Amino acid sequence: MHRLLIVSDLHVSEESSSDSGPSLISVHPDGKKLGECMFNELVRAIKLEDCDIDWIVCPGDLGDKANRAGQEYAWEKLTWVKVQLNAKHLIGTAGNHDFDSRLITADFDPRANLQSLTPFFPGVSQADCDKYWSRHFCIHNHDGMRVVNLNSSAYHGNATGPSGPEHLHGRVAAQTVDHICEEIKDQTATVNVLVTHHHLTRNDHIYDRDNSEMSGAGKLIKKLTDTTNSPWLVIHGHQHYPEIDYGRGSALAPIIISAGSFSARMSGVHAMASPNQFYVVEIAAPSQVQDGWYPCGTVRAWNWTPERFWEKSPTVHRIPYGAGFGCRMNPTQSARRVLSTLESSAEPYLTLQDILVAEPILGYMLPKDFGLLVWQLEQNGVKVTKTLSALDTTFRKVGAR
Amino acid sequence: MSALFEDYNARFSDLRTVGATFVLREKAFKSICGTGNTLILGPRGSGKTTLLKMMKISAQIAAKPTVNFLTLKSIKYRPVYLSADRLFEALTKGVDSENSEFGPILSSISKTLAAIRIKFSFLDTFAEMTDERTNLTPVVSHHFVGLTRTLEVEFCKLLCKTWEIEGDVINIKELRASLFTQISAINRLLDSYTSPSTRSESASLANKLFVDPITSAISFIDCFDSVFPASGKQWALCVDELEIMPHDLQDYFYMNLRSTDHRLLLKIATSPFTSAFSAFDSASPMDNNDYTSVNLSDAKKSESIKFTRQLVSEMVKREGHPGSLSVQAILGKSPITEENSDQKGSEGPYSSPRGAHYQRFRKLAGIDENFSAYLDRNQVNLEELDSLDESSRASKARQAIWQVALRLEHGANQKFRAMGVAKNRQNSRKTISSIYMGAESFLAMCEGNPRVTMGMFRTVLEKFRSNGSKVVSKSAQSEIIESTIAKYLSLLSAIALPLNKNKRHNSSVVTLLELIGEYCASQNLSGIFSPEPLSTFIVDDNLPVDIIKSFGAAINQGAFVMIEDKEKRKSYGRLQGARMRLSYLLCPRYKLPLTFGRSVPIQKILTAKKRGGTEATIRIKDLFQYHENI
Repeated sequence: MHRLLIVSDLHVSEESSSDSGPSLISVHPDGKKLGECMFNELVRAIKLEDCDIDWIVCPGDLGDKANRAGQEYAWEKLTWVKVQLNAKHLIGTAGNHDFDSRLITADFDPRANLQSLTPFFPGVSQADCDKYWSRHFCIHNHDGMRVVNLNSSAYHGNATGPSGPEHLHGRVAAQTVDHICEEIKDQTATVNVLVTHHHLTRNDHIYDRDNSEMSGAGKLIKKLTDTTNSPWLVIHGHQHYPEIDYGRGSALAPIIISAGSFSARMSGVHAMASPNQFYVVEIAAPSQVQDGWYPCGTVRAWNWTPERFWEKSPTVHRIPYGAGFGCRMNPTQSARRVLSTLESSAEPYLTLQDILVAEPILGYMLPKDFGLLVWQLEQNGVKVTKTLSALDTTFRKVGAR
Repeated sequence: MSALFEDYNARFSDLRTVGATFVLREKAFKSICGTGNTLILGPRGSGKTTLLKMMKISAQIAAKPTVNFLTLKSIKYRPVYLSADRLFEALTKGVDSENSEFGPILSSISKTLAAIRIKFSFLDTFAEMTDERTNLTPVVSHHFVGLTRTLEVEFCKLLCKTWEIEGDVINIKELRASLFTQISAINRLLDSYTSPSTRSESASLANKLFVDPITSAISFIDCFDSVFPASGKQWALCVDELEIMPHDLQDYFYMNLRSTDHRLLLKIATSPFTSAFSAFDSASPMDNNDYTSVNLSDAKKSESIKFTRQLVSEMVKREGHPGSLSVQAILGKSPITEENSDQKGSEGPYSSPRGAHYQRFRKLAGIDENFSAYLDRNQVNLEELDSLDESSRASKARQAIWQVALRLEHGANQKFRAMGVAKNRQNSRKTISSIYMGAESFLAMCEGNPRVTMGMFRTVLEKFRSNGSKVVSKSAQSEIIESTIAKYLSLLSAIALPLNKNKRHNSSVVTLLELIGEYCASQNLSGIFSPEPLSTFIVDDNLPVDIIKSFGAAINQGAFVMIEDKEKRKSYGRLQGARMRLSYLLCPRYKLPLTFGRSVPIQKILTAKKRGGTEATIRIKDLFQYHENI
C-alpha cells in the first residue's frame, strides 16, 4: 500500500488584507496566522486518521504570480508537514504561477525563485532536482512505486509560439516523452504515478473556454501506457477543480485525479463546487478483491471550513472523503452485487459500510459511478438514503419501480 | 488592525477541538452538571458556548485526561445541544417582520423551526449514545445504550407517529432526511405567505405545520423510554446563545425554566442583558427556585485569575514552551499586587525601609498633603504598618495600595512652573502606567474571559519568544495593553448611545465609558484621600430606556460588569438599581484600580459632566493615537 498526501495550488501571496487576495494564505503578518492554522489543522486531521504518509506531493503553484515570499513560505510549510507526519518524501512540481514568465520580479530568469528554494525544489535529491530543471522531468522509484515528476511549465517565459504565449498553457515536448519512456522501459514497478501541474485534456465540460491543457499530453499518456502496459495514476493541479476521472484509452486508460486547491480563494461559477481541499490517496496493494482492476485505491478528502478546521468532505463534493478509483464496473454489475447482499441479509436495512464488507470492490468505484449505482438500485426498488458521510448511506429493498 | 475577538470562537469549533482544548472552570461546570435547570450568563467570549458544548458526549470523549473524571462521570442527564445559528433569520429575512400582519406567522414559524432543530439535536445525542466509542470511553460509558437495527426500526416508527412524519421511515438517517423536507416545506410556506393571493391558504397550512419545541423534546423522551425502558434518565436541553434568537423564542425558552416535564432539564446560555429579562414579573422563573444561575462575568477575582492562569498554561504548552513556564516568568511580577501583602518582616511589602508598599506610602505622604492629612486623621504610623495585625492593616493600608500607587503615578504631583508660578500637573493620559504591567495585572485584565485571554496572551507569547524567552519588556507590555484597549474601544464604538438627541453628532457607548472613567479618576486622584477608590456606579431607576439598552449592549460585550449583591441578585437582567464597574481591561486607560471600590449613582456622573459643558466623545483619531507608536 502507498499513501500520498496531495496539497495543491496554494497560491500564497503577500496581500495585506485577510479578506481578499488570491489565497487564504498570505505571508503578510496579518494573513500568516490563517496559513499557520491551515497547516496545523492539516497535520492534526491526518494524525487523527492514524495513517502513515509515504509521499507528500504538491502539483504546483506554491505562490501566486511567482511571489517569492509566498513560494518560500509554502515550501517551508510543506517541509514542516513532512517532518510532523514523518513522511518519507516530499516532491513538488512547477506550476504556471511558479514561473516569473513576465519577468516582473526576476531580472532575466523566470525559474530563479523556484531554483533558490531550500530544500531543493522539486525534491527529492539534488540529482533529481538537477535533472528536473535540465530535462524537465525526474523519476523516483521507491517501494515498488514509480513517480514521474514532469515539468509541464518548462517553457514558460521562453517563447511565444503559434498557439500564443507559452505561459498560457502546459506543454510536454515529444523529445521529453521519448526520454521518459526510454528510461522507464526496462525498470519494473507495480504502480506508476505521473505528477504534473497542467491537466492532460481540454476540460470544456467544465469551463466554456479551456485552452490551458498540456500540449503533447495525448502522446505522453499513450506512450507511457504502451511502455508499461499498465494504467497510470495521474495527479495534477492547475484548474482548482476537484475531480476523479478516467482518461482516454483502452482498459488501461489512466486514472486522473484533478486536485482542488488547498488555499486559493475561489470565485466565479465553480466556486461553490470547488472547495479548498487536500487529499490522502491510498493505493491498495493488488489483491483478489480487486478482481483484476488495477491500480485501485481510495481518496480521503478534507475541505476547509469557515470554522477554521479541515472537515471530511461530504458526499456532495466531487471528491468526497472515501471516494474510490480503479474499479470500472458498470451500474448493472455493481447493482447486482448490492441487491444480492441485501437479499442475503436478515437486517431491515444495510449501510454502505455493511455492503463494503460483503463487496469490498465497490469501494473502488469513482464517485460518479457510485451515483450511477444508486440510480440503478432505485430503479430496482431499493430505497437509498444518502448522508453526508458516504459510509452511512443506507439501503433497503422496498419494491421495484 | 485585527479584531480582538478573532482569535477564538467556540461557535466555530468542532466538538473534538472543544474537548481537546477545554480548561475546566470547575465551579461553573459543576453547577451546570447538576440535575436542575441552569441559566449560564456571560458577555461575549466568556466561554458560555465552550461550557455548553463540553456537555456533549463527543466533546467529553475528546477531553484530555486532566479534565476531572469524576465531574464528567457525575453528569447524570443526557445532554442535547441546541445552537442558535442564523437559520431562523435566513429563512425569514425576506419577510417584512415589522409588518404586524406577518408577526403571528413569523413567531409560529420560528418556534416550529426551533422544534425541528431540537429534533435534530435529540437525534444527534441518540447517535452519540449508541456509538460504540461511548461504550469504550470510561468517562462517558454510563451514557451508552446498545442498539440493534430492530430496535432502531421500532424507535423510528414510534417517533414518526409522535412527530407526525409521514412515509415509510425505519432508520435514523431516513428520519433526518424527513426532517429536512419539513424545513423545505416551511420555505415554501413562507414564499406563498408573502403573496396576498395565497396567504389564507398558507396560514391554515402554517397552523398544521406548527410544532411546539418543548413538546417535541418531551415526545422524543416518551418514545425513547418506551423502546429502551431500562434506561429512564433525565435529559438536558442545552440552549446556546439565546440572545441571538428571535425575541419570541428567547421569552419562550426563558419562561420554560419555570415549568417543564421533570424528565427534561434546561441549560440556557445567554448574555447578561437580553430581552427575555425585560419583564420580570410574578410569572417569571426565579433564580435559586426554578433554576440556578451561573454568572461567568462576575466570578470572584481570585477565581477568574486562577482560571486565566490555567488557560495561559495550556496556551504555553501548545506553543511549545515548557509546561512549567509561569505567567510571572513571562511578564514579571506586578508592582501592585495583593499577593504576599500579608507577609511580615524585613522582606514584607509594608516593612521599612525597603518594602514596596511602604516606600510608595512614604513617598506620597511627602508630596500629597491630602494623603498626609488622611494618615494623620487616622493615626496611621507608616513605620508601624508592618507590625499591625491583619485586620488593622487591611483597613488602614492594604485597602489603599491601589489608591496610593495611582496618586503617585497620576495625581497632580508633577511640579512645573508656568508664567513664573509653581504648579502641579498630571502625567499624560495617553501612556499606560507601569503599575498595570506584570503577571497579576494582565491576569486580572483578562477578567476570566477566554477570548480576551487568548487575544492578549498570543501576542504576549510571541513577544516572549522573540525576546529570547526572557521577560517581556515593559514597553512591549504597554504596547499590548494599548493595542488591546484600542481594539476593544473600536468594537464598543459600534454601540450607539442616544445621550444627546438634540446634538448633531452621534455618540457611542464609548462616550459613556469616558464620562464614567474620567469622573472616577478625577475623584480618586485629587482632593480628600479615601483609601477605597471610587470605581463602581449604580444605575438609577429613572435612566431612559435607550440608555439602559446601550448599557446592556456594553455589558454583553464585557465593557461593564454587573456586581452581584449579597442576595446573589443584580448580576444580570434588569439594570435599574444594579451596581456596575468598568471592565478591568479598560482600567489602565482611565487610571482606575484593578479592584472595585466605592460607588456613585450614574446620574451624578452624567449631570456633573453636563455642567462641565464639553463632552468626552472619543473620536477616530483617538483610537488611532494608540497605534502611533506600535
